[in-house]
Amino acid sequence: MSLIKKIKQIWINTMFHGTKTYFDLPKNEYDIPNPQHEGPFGSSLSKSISLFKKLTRSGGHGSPAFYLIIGVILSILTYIEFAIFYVESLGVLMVPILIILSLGKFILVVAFFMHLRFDNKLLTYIFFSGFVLAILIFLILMILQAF
Amino acid sequence: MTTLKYPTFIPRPKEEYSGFLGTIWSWITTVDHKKIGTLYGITAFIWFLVGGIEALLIRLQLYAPEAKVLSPEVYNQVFTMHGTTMIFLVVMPLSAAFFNWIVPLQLGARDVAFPRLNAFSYWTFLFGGILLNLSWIFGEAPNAGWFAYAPNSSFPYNPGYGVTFWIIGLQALGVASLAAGFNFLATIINLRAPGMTFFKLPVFIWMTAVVNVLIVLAFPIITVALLQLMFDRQFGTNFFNAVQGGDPVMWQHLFWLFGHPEVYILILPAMGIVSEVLPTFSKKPLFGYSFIVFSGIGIGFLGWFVWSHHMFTVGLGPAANSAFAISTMLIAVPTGVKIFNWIATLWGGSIRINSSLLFSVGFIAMFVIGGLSGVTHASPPSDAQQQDTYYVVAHFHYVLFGGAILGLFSGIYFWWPKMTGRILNEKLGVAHFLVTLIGFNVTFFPMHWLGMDGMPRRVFTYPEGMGWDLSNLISTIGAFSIALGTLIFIFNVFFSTRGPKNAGNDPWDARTLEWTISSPPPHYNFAEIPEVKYRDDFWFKKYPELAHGEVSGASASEVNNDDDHHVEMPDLSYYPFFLSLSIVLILGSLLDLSWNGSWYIAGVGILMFVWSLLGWSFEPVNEETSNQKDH
Amino acid sequence: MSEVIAAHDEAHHNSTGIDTRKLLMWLFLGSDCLFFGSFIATYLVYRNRSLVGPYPSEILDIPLTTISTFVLLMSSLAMVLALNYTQRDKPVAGRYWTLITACLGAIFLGFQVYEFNHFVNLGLTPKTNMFGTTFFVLTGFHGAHVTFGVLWLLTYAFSCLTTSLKERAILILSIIGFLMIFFAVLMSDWLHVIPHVPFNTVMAIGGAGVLILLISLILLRKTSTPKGIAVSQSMNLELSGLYWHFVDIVWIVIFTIIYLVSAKDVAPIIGM
Repeated sequence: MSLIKKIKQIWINTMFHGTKTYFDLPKNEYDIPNPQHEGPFGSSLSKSISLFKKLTRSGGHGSPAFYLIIGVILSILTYIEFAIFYVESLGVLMVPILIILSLGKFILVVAFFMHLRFDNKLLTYIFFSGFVLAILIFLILMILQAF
Repeated sequence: MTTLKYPTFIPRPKEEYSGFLGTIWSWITTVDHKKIGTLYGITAFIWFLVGGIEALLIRLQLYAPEAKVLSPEVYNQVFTMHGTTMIFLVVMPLSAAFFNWIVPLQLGARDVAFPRLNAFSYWTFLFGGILLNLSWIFGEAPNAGWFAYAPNSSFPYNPGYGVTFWIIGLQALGVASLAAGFNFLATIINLRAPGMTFFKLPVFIWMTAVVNVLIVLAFPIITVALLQLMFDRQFGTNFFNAVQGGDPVMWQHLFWLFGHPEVYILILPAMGIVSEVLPTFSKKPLFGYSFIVFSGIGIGFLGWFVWSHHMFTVGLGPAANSAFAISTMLIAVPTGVKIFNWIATLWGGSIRINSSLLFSVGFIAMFVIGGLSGVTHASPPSDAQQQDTYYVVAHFHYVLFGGAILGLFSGIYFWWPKMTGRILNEKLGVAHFLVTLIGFNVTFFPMHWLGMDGMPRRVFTYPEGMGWDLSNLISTIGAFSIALGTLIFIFNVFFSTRGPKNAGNDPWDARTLEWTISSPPPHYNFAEIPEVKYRDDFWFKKYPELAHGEVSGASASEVNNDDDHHVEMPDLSYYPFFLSLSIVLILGSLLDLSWNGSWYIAGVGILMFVWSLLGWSFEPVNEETSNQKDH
Repeated sequence: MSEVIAAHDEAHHNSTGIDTRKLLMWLFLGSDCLFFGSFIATYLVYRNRSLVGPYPSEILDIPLTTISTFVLLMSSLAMVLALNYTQRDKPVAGRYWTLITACLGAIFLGFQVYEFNHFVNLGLTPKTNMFGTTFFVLTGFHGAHVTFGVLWLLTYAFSCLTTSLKERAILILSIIGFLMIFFAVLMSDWLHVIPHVPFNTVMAIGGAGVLILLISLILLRKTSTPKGIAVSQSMNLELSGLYWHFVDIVWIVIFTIIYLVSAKDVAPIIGM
């Protein structure tokens, strides 16, 4: 009896935030909206940001179970990529599928492991301005070099 | 305390020492943004003189046909080093001097976000510049042009030390610029005074932000390009080796992917300075603030999609050439918007003419000429005529000297009272302006004709009877007039340092926060962090009747400047100095891998790197208070 | 005194609510996108341009690289768990996960060392052809990033997750144990990275390594760190975590583009 209780306790300790469920994300400092006169764009965007936060239930950091689930999804995606590589009948479709899958992995890691999903949106803008710019200019570069 | 006790070897300086060595040590260990800005300014000005002497040598060689002042080999080295020095060692660090001095002051901050990183940027810049110029001692300075086009800079065609020096020097300078870029962006995003939203920032801050975004995003590309060139040269890889299927055009692409944003990195700080100077001396707010800001952002964005206009004659094909011609012409639009806004700022203002304003107005005029000649080679057929002629040389000197340098001089005259407490002599300043402006036009305007007449750039001499003799002679005379103008400036600086410190807090009746504090500012800048309500907040505090709503808060005269405040500033640190030194040692050891000494230098560098990186990480910002607080 | 502290807090005034160091890290990562972007673009431009072999189809080993990709992904998971436990003031779990992260990163590096060595044995060096040039330089710089990340994590574990001298000694012991296993594997006959080591020596080093690692890991299960210390230091771990995840996503892109997409590339039909 006590052994089962102990196992249950270990399960709760490793998988939950306190006694909350998997996806109940804790309140943290980032939930508090930026002061009116501060923030990246003054007060102009604060309303839409607060609406967005409401809709997406943005919180602090996920629980270990949540991250485990993300990790499992990432592994599955990697395995699918690996499996697709051997499917000869896909032909030219293979490359776009692989790119979409890796983009999915990329977004999962960036959004949840790197907490962009939970953090101030400014960080997302910073990172993706670099990322999108890199994709844009190097696509142009490759198009130029292809001819 | 939980942090590791780290063996430091050298005791950490707590306060500034006296005596000669002590003074040097206090400058080496300084983390104060104002002192680092001063160091940047002095160093960049020294390099300006070096680059200027190189320019004079070029002009001496070209003053007459078949002149024999320099040999062809030395001439190649001199023009390469002139370009590299002026771009990486003069205009960029001189802008960085203004970023360092002015950005925290205009933001209402006590220092930049990462003071030690700031010191690291400076020392890396200094050592990188020294490393680059050490090549003169070896007698093999870089000689492949400031863009070092690949087959010409590859090992089989250029086996000396020159290009390697260029690569490792630029890597160090890139590290310095990147560190400074991250630092200033973090400062601008996070250290604004309460109430100062992004659209209440002074335009200079905005332009600084755009420049540093460009630095942060463009320098990784040149880092990669230089790494590839270095691997080609030192380790025999094939990036630009056509024999194995490599493509030298790839170097051009990577270089200009960096190189074109770099052009805006050079010019935008001057645009920011002009946008501060003009409103102040016409006693009007800047006309169309948001237009200027958004056109600055637009230039920064469009600047990424025009790089192939440097390569119109490479043969990218009509489709690519047309696309890049269109984007290049498009980028003239935001630039034109700025020009009109500056003119409209002057229009109807109560203008006070002094040297700072003159330099700004000179900037506008010269930049318009340079911009117009730039538009002419946005068109590929026309560019095919102008490519690699003196017309291009005239164009980029009009935008870089007539633009960037005049703008930066305007900033020097504008902020000199804030930096030193003394106003530069006005008569000498006007003389400096007139001699420089006239000399500049005499030097570079004839180059338009030379270029149209077909004189190629980078030739060390030209035969008689081409019809180029007179224009070249005039140009050489003009170059020496610019040198005379610079001498007047140097004399002005020494002359002014003998005068009394009588500038006061606000000599120009200016608009931004840096003028609310004493000149030179105390080491903590602001005794109390100001609250900002308006764009040009200080102006409305001085003249509340001009504000739209009621104005509360202290007026200018009430600003408190007691030295009695216990403001805690970060302690001095010597780790940035040694980290920079170690990076430059490691880079320097890559110069010649076949020489055994390189490995010892690299070993010393790596040891020093590990020591100073760890020391930096474990060093608390303030020694005494670190035990009392939990961060 | 209160005035001093007030002024001090003002100096740390912060406009956006984002920790400035985190902001700097993200700026760096945004900039690093361009760094790896340039290398990947170079790789793609030079894809199918090798004039001589070995070509990717003859040399790339997809199952092996899938495993190493999986290892790196799992290290990212371990990293985020380490941060999560540390932020919730569970320093022991945080410490274990940090060590697991570094350990998985080192295993990934082991895969890379094996792969490089294997390729060189098959005749592909950076000088051989365009594939060799672009492949070695790109994955080499990625590996350098991973190495720096491992060293960073170990430095963090050493300085912030252990407090007493004893714990630090045990931590170093565990690293030594891990390295012994690591090199024993590299020395083993079937990898051929460090050749000509007798089997008995390999087993001795590996066995001793396992023993040392197990003992030290068991000893690390208790900590003398007072409550709250790990939380106050967790920003350092968060920064190294951001860096670590970034290196991971770069590998996600590299795995797709260099390995999966181009693993079927054969000799180009028409030379350049």
